[in-house]
Amino acid sequence: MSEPSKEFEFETAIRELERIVARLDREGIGLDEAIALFEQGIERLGEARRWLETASGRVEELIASSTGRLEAMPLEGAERSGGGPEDRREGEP
Amino acid sequence: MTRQVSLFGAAEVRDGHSPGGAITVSDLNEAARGTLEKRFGDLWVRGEVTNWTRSSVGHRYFSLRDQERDASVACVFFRGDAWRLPADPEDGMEVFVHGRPTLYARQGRFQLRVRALEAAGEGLWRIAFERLRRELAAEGLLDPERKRALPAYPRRVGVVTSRGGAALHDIITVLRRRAPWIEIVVRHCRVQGEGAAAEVRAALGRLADWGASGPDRTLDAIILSRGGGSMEDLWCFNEETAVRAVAASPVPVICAIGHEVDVTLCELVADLRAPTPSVAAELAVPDIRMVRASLDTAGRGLARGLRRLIVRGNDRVEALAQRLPASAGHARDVAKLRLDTMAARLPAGMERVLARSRARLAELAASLDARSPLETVARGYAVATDLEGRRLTRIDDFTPSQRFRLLVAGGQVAATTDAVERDAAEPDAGEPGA
Repeated sequence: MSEPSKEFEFETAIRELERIVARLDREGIGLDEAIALFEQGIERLGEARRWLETASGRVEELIASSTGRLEAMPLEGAERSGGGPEDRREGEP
Repeated sequence: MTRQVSLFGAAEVRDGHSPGGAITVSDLNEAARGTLEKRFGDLWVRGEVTNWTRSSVGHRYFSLRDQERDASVACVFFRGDAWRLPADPEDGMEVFVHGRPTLYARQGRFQLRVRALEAAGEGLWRIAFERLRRELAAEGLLDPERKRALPAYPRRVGVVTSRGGAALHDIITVLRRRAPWIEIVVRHCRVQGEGAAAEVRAALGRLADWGASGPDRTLDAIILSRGGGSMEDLWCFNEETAVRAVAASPVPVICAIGHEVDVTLCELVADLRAPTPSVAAELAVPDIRMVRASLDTAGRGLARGLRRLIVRGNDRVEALAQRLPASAGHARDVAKLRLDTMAARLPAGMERVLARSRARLAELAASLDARSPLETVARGYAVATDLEGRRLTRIDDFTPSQRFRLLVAGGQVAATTDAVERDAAEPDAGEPGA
């Protein structure tokens, strides 16, 4: 996995990490399995760290569009209440 | 009084003082109404409620009775004021009404136009609250087992509150600070006034429907909140419409209404109650610092596992070196290659762990090389080992008719000792190889 994708499930990654650590801690684990688990663990850890530091959620409001369907649109003025790692008003000076 | 031109041309004063000047009924009633309202203004009146009725559009009609002195007055409580009532009073209930004596002009009937009604004693708020609370409890909707756990690492949180309220600002600020990855989906609704409870229900429903409409829309939790206000302002969160919508929400609801001292029924049926909107946001998501810490913990767990597996790996290489001389170098090389591969992928913190293990492995490799029989064999010598792989290097290692193996270039030879001939002059000599 190179880029943190939208589908990345942080909770799943954490659970998998915990599972990997628990299995590594178990007595009698084979060397090959241990190495494979360790490599998986390092990969999950890297993914989770990258995701955590780069993921930036949106603030949207659910409003009815002209067709009457509910759509999530950027919430006006939400930037004021920000505090996120970056300004989400892309393209503005 | 009105002035009119008569049939006979003369102006006549309509002041009700002569048959010719008689006023109309509606003039009379209007005049009486004006006088009454001006004379009395708004008053508090106490009495017993009787004949309480509710019209289809929501107006309430009833009589207030003074039982001791056998008097009663008709009361009208229009919907625009009466919607604030948390519950209708029961017949015979002692109440205080605030209103203005007036006259219903169409029927010439004296009545009180009620603006507010309060029950004596516990009050209608308390009565309505307790009535619904008991009902919810009987249905099991307040049971602790109903409370759902919130996901540890939510991705998407819904917020139901007023668009312009301070609560929304507080919630967004806290969510963004603690969990910058969080997606926040806000659904506006009014949080006080007539119809607010229905809007709360609609907002919860729309948000849940939207959340269920796609895998990338799944909501992990919904925060239902509003800031502080009077009991009346917060009342919609005690109305059955809103309370049942919270109880029925397919998505776990965190509810924070008013200040800490205010407890509403919505909060009691919610999965989690928070004292303020900010705290609701704190409960909804983990702090990024805690998440980093848990990743560090997982990393340490991996490092610990790695340390063990390398130690174990070294032990096995060592064991192999003793038991299978011919393949020891290969096993060692494979293990070393794997460690190097891992090292290339290791984050900085763990490199130290691996460095120590690698140093140990290097020592081991050196000692393996020192003991390796392979080079010797390649030069044309043979290495003798017993059937367990232990090297036989001295004459004392051999006994007659003993079976042993000879490691030579290209393979091994199964051999048996014919005789043991000790070198008399040189007791230390006779080593077949280095």
